[in-house]
Amino acid sequence: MSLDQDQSYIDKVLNGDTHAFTVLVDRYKHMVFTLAIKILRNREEAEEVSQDVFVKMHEALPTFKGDSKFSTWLYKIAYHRSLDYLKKQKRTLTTTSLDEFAEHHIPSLENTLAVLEAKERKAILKNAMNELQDEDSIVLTLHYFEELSLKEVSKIIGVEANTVKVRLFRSRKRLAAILKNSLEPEMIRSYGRK
Amino acid sequence: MEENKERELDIFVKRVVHEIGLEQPSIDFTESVLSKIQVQTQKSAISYKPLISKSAWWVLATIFFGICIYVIFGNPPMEIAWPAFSGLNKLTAFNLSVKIPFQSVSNAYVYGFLGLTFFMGIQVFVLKHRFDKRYRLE
Repeated sequence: MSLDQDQSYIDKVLNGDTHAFTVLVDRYKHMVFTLAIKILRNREEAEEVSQDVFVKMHEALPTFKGDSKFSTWLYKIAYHRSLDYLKKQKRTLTTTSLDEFAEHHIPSLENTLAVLEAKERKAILKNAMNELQDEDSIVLTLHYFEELSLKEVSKIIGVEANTVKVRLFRSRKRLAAILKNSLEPEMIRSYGRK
Repeated sequence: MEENKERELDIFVKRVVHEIGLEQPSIDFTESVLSKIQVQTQKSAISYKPLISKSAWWVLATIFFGICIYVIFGNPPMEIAWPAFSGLNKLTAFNLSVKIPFQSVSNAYVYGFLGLTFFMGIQVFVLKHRFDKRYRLE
């Protein structure tokens, strides 16, 4: 999302345009929710915190100066709000894995198998990601999915860009290792079927 | 070789992350956000109401004390002569420049008194700030 696209909507929201606000929410709710769920490891809590993030965003929008990307600013709020919620609950970031994953639409018979395979694949990948430390998985998602630079990621999570780089390299290797380990038995099984 | 490996890893992880995708929030997420904001704006709208009656209070207080002062010191014509009021006339004749009966106040007393006032003043601000923080609407 380019800064210009966001800026026109931001101006509209500041002038009281509710529809422009819903556009911004819909645009960014997935990443905000993903960040919250990675930290809180609980769907309901992540939902509530994410909603509060957008309420806070609406409040603080007049203070957004445009010196960073809007997404960077928003994700920073999301990240820190989630951490604050965690602190209030007196918990710390953990590495327990999520049991649930996103629901899919019911497929027709033809692509049932393909969808099942894709589902299984996605679940394996997700589980591997969830085995990482929360901050590592957040760094990977922000850098590879949102394609944010190391500098932008460092602004969001509040650490040095160099630390982000180290985290990125380390967690990349770890993710690959986890996947290799979880795929070995799969590969053996699939060979056996053939 | 190392660079190659890193680049491969980079591409691999990028594919993985894209395939995992993002989490989906609930369907009425945006609606809930909008209603939460409405609630907030209502809260701030309501919190302004008392301000109007506050200034009304000040006006009333001024009028009340104005009347009191006039009655006590202005000697308006009254039907009932209250004995209490004759006593009050003596008050106005008080010479307030009469000295308080200590001849001298020690320095320690003055410093102690000033220190007490100063720290009490600080306490007021500190406590106010602390209570504001605790009970802030967030």
